[in-house]
Amino acid sequence: MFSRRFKMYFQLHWIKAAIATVFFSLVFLLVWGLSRIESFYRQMQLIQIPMYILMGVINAAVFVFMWLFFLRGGMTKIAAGKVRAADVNVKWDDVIGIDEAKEEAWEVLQLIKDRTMLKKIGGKIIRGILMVGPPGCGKTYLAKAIATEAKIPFLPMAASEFTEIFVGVGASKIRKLFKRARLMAYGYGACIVFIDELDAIGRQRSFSMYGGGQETNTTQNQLLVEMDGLKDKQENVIVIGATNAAEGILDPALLRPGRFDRKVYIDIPGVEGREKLFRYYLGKVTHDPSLDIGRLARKAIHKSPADVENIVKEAALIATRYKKDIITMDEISEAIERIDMGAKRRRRMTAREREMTAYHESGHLVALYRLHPTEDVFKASIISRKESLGVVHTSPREEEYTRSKESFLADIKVALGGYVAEKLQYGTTSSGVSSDFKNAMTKAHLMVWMLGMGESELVGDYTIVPKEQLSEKVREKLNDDTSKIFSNCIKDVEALLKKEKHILDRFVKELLDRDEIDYDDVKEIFDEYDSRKDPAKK
Amino acid sequence: MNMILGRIRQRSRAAVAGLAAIYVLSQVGCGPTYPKEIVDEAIVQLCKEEYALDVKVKIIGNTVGVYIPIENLFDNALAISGEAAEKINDVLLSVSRVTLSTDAALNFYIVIAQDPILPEVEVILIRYVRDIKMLHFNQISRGEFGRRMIIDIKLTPQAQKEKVLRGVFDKLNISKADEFIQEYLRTSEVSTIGDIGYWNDIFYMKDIGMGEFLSLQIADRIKGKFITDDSLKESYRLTAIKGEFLQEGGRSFFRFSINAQPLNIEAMGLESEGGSEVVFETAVQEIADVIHGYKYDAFWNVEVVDMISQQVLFAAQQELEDFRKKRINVEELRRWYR
Repeated sequence: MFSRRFKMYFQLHWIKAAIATVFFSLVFLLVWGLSRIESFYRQMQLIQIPMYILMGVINAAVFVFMWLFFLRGGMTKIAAGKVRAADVNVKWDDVIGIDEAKEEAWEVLQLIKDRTMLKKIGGKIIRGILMVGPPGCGKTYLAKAIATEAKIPFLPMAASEFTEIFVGVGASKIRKLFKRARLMAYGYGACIVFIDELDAIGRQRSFSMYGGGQETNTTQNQLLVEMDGLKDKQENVIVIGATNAAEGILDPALLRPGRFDRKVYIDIPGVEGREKLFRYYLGKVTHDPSLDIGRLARKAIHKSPADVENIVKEAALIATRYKKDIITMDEISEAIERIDMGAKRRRRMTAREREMTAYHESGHLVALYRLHPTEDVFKASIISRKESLGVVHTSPREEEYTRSKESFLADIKVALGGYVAEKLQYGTTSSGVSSDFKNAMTKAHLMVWMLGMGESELVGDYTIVPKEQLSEKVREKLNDDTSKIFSNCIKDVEALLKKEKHILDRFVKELLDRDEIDYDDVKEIFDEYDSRKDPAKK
Repeated sequence: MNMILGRIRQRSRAAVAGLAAIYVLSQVGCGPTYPKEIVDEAIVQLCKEEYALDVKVKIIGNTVGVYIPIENLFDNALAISGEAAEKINDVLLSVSRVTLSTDAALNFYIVIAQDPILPEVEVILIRYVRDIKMLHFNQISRGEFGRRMIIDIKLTPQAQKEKVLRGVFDKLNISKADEFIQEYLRTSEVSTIGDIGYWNDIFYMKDIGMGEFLSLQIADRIKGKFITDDSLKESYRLTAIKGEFLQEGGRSFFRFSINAQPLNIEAMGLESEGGSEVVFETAVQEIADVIHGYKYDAFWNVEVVDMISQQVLFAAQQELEDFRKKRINVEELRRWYR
């Protein structure tokens, strides 16, 4: 093993070794030469050495610059430096919140670790692992953890680094990367090549008579060749690719067995995962010990590990700005709001505009609280953000992966709540309803045209049928169904808001007084009115 | 953290290696090749080993004296023979090497060459050690370096003195001349550079001072000017020049006495008007340049005496510098008759 390591080191670093040898030889000669001459002449030489060094450095810098840019084709140089497992230092236990993916990856890790045993019994060594999942879910982190745990070198590259203007440059970089990886595997027994955002070079190849996309094709072809080539070599190089693109985007040749053998799906974490993530990231900052992390995890539905980290970081920044020593729920709430809704912009509104906005948002709020089966109010605000003058921010009560008809209808009703509230109070409406209408109409259209949720007997996905193939009658029926959904929802919301006008007015007053109300305040007010109506609830 | 620590450790190792290399280099640069305790031996050894020359060395204060006997020192024209000049150069080189690479505070060295057959005549060469360094660092030209060395061929002063005394004792028919000479003349320390010499295995030396050295060098240079400059050569014949560095009333000053005979009407005409402008101008220019070249300032003034007109020109240190910078001309300097 020692001789293999030595050989590998020599092949990897022979230039450095040659430079060091020349350097130390020169130093030795210099010392020897100086020691042979008289002290005065020696001092004369020593005085001049800094100048010689400076001149040498300048000359070398000019030479290297010229060499890299004009003679050696500096563009094909691989920027990736070798990162040894010890340097990566992401421990297995550091990967949290994606337990299922971890389990899958653990299995892969065991196969990498036990490759000798696997070879003995004639099993097939894993060559490629594809990590698929939304951004920010810890694909890179998991890959690093595999490298650390397996104690093998890790060569990280972003696929975008292979894409070049000139045909062949990307392929050349791939060749160099794999050459280096094989050498590392030769020395350390194995090596992981990690290619992030694989879709940049792994998209389905296109063929154009004008040569468009040829560079990407060439790069991908080279990757395929190198991955195939791995089978013929004894060196154990494992390629881990990461992408957030759907599998269908990638070229089938990449996904066939023998290339990316294993696929590890990394999805956004569930409530338990988020709780662990909050615990982990909050553990790194000073926070209020009474903070209900479980509740926080439940609130942060659909948040990725990167989102959770970002929320905690943002909360720390907010706490610092407010000169607080610890992070409390208020800072975390503001951080979520800032990340989801954007920063506040204090626009100057007229008193009527402000009141109308308050009615608009209160309409959404009451409709949401009373009618929506799966969503809760996270915050209602009449502080302008981005392009809107106010907002009612929602958060799902539970993680759901399918939507019911009732849920869609509730979405439409909530969207129309603002319009109905304005009309009810002022007898007229504002331009603020445009985005609500767009949202509501899109959902109603989707329900009828795609999901068969209309009142008529027309069921099926009519969007895949070209419009000219649909009869006038069918289209009319579908449009009628859409309109009915819309008008029925408006009726329902009108009935609700007329019935609960006192609550609507109360929320308008609260918003005008406080600008913003949280879920807890909303619930308190509704409970207050409900208990008056039904004292038993008190 | 481990990664960062690892990199820091790697860089620390590199830094330690670099520092070690610098330390080794600096150690190589430390320490003189010829420590002060062995300077005399080193010169003798160097001359012996590298040039097969037998020399004798004596150090007084900051001055080192080297005696070298050379057969056929002079040729038939009584000039230094080519072979002798080569040997003298070898000695000069050896002494230069030792004086440059020692920790002994040596400012001047003197090389005395004599023909063993004719020890009554000697060649004396005096050099300022710093001038050699200046040459090495290209701060002075090789020509200037040559002009900065004092070369003198003269009768050995002690031989002359002994000759005179022996004559006196002979006339008086007293046989104790040797005892007298031994008692009163053979003291190795002399008072002026002019008395420096080597006689009967004894060095007659003194620790040379900068002022004294400069006075002799300037006199030599003025003399050289009168010999080499065409217009001066046509107008004057320099018969004598003497440079002295004197002290009176706690003040140090240079005095140059010049005897330059006018050779033509123009030169005489200038004399008839009571001025020695050319002589003064030539002398003051040389004095100012040399003193500036050495950045020497341990003196109050300079006196230039024209022995023909008996006129004395006086220039204070600042006036000399002003003259060099052409802020004043020689007519503006004070003068009087002796």
